[in-house]
Amino acid sequence: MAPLLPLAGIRVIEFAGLAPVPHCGMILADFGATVIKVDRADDQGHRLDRMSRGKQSVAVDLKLKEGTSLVRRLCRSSDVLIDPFRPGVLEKLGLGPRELLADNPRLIYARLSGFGQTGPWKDMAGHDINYVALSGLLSTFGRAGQKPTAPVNLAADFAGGGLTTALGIVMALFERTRSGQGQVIDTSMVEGAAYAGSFIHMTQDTPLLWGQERGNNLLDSGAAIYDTYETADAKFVAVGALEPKFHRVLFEKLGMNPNASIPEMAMNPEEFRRELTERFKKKTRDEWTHIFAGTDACVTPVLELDEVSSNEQNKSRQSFITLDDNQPFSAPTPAPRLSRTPAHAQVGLYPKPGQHSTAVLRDFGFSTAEIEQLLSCGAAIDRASSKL
Amino acid sequence: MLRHKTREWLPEFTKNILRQIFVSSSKSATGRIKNQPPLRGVRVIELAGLAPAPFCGLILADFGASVTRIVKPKEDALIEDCLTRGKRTIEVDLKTQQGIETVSNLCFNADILIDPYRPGVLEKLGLGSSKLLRNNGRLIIARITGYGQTGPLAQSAGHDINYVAMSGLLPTISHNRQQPFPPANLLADFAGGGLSAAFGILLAIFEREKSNKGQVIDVSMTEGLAYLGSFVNLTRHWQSFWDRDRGVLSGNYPVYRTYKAADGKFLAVGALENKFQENLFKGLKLPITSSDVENRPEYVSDLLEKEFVQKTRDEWMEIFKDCDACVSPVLEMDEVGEHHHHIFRANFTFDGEKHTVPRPSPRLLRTPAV
Repeated sequence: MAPLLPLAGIRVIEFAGLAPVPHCGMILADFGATVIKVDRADDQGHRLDRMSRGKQSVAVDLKLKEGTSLVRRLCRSSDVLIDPFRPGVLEKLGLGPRELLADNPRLIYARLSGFGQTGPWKDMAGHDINYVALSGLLSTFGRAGQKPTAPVNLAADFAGGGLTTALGIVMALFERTRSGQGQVIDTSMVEGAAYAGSFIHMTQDTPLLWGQERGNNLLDSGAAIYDTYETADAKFVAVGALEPKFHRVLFEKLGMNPNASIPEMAMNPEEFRRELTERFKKKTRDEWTHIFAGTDACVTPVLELDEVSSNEQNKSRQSFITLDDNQPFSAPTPAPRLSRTPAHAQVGLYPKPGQHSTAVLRDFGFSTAEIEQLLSCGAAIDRASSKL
Repeated sequence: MLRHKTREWLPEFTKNILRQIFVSSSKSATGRIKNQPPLRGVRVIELAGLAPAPFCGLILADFGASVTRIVKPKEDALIEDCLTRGKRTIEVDLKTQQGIETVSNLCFNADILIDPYRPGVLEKLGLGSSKLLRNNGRLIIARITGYGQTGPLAQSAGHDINYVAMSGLLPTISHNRQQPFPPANLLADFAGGGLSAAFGILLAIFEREKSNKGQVIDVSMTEGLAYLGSFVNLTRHWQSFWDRDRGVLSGNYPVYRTYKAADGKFLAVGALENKFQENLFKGLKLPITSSDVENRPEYVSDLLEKEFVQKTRDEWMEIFKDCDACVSPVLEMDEVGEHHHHIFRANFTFDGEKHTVPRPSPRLLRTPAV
């Protein structure tokens, strides 16, 4: 019997959008939902969208009345809608929450935007860096003397956006089992990022952790025992030996005085850093990995994306899915791991825009005549037979 | 200057509150009872630990669950746990048989157990997952670790920096140019750890409605983060994004980076699209265009650095406030709560003037967080 999937039977309509929304849809698809991507009519699919694995694609011209009413009908028998647009865009198309929830009170209408659905900045354009900036967190990221640096688009787009929205959706699905009702979810990536960084916000007044200039604190590269070090082969190791019991092991393995205390380190911070820097440069990264494996020194190799799947820990757990494609490719396995009802990432199954237009319409109860009508007026485009 | 802005926005803020009250009170009595926070009645046992487990428990508590936090007597942690709001705490000595039985009994009646220990610790205490599930087949056990329940590193100690290093994302995050470093402990501890665990728990509790069965969730912070960074991983050969020198997300792309202002504060520029770049250059009064960005990025960066440093951050924000240039202030932690957008959205509360407390996210409009 095929393993059960937690979101089996849940239908999601995902409007094509940038990073956070495809990520949210991908998570839901990986965990079993039927995710239907509404692609733009003019999208030829030249760029392979790997975030669309396991999804179906309907290409719709939303500029046509037939197009928007097509989507409205899809939402009538769906469970979730993911809206990537600026506030008001879907309302203008007659696809706002008022209409769609009236049609289908069980619908979970998830709106994912940078600044949220309300507020003085709701109509402003922005990207991940802007949202992390507004959350307060960006001011804490970066080495001393350098400009604040966002961790590419992980903090706001994916953590504060995609994953936070997925969490909200499943919460609403769970709540719906009791109330029988759907609702609107307003995800602001600024807020999602800030909430994920609650600990950082709420420990600002803890002297051990914060209070110094950026780059001079315990967790932001200010401490020699919590930083990365270059190795003989110009690669890096990560050292996270915060507790005395851990840095004792670290110093021992490095041939340093194992009993160096935090006050001592605080008195001569540059001295410690210099010592660690010099010693780590004496061997290659993989030699150090071998020396520290199985110890509590909190030292790990800084892996590149191209080598994660061959690391022994990652390999043993199959943390990265490799395909037997023409090119070796690794995709991170869905997380977390549910023991009884695990995810199933359909890596390798990427729909072309409009590939499933006819099939989806049929699934949703459109008659052959209706489908023909929609295709002929251009409201729906079917690219099932087109070659990429 | 920000205080002046606060007063400007007050009327709309008040209107917003009134609107919310009016809408919720227009529901029937049954409707109001139904609109409880989503996790009302869900019972969680959280074994006290560092960062990820408390944050997971916090999310569940914020969204209505009853969270009981179990601490060891005379526990000497590195820092005090600040993520305890909405939870009740009890002291249990897990070194005694009585203590073990207490926890076992609590799990018998609970929906969720959050385990922050190294793999095997609960088993040694007589609280292994198979035993707990035998007693309560509906229990959901979330086991949160850095490397996962299995594998050669399962028993090794580590912290956020180690897990980010193992995820493969650290060089990219550090833009492949300098000594790599993660953004505090946000990514593995909280995004890949606590938030990911909460998500897994919600999946399991939703699934349980159909199956009436619980299960174990193996949360590896390394994997949680790697999965979060799927886009980065899956597009890593897209030079336009990730090229060390010219990639859009390389950290040095002139229209996607931070800039220092006259007062030592920073602005974040995220003007990826040409139309936003036009507005940006107009606001800066610089005679350059998007093709300059493409053809001579270092020159543009230089120019912008010299220009931004001419005015204070807030002076720049006054200039950019009504135009779509994707420019925002890099707010410091001690001022974030005073920004007018945050005030309007009520995004932060203040802990007795000590620090800001972010509001739970996302917003479920009918059944919001506690």
